[in-house]
Amino acid sequence: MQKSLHVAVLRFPGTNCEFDTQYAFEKLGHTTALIWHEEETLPQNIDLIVVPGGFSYGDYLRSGSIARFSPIMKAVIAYANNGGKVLGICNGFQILTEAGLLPGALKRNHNLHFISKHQNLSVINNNNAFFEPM
Amino acid sequence: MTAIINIFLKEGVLDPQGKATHHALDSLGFSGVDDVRIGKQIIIKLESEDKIEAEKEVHKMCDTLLANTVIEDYTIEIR
Repeated sequence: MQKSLHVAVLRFPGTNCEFDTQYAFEKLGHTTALIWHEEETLPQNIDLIVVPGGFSYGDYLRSGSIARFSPIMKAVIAYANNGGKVLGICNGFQILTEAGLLPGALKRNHNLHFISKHQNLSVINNNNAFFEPM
Repeated sequence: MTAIINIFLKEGVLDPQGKATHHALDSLGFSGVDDVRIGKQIIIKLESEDKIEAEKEVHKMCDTLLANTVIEDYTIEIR
């Protein structure tokens, strides 16, 4: 059994996947801390930061463009620059590209289609780099 | 002073909104349309009466927040 991690889950106005994200990590035996975007520091002993999905700031201006300037993001960027791991899911991923933690930018879908399909998923492993303690 | 900022996708970046609108115009019978691009306009009223300072400030606003310079270009007009 791998070591139990302490995972910080960020929360911006408009984030809507923070509880699902907490649930998933806790189901695997890890502990989580929900971090409001106005906090300026992260808790001690964080092994992983997750930026969850949703519609932070209503996707105003560009998705993630306003969240990337939230007070907590300075600490997140410092954490990443010190070798810490940050997982961005969906809008969280958009926030990471706007923050410059990931390269590139997001374009609109071809044909502007909102794509809603059932997808089959396989859990390949839950013992990968994201689960290594800091 | 008032700053009028127009933000568009860079040339070469796919603009599906523009394309969709182009097709819609075609279907409506507007035959002479070569291209449609859709951007956004941001209007900022500034306290400053100094045109040069205002333009510098607005450039910084664009580079920092208002435009994503990876895929967007912008123009600024100060009145």
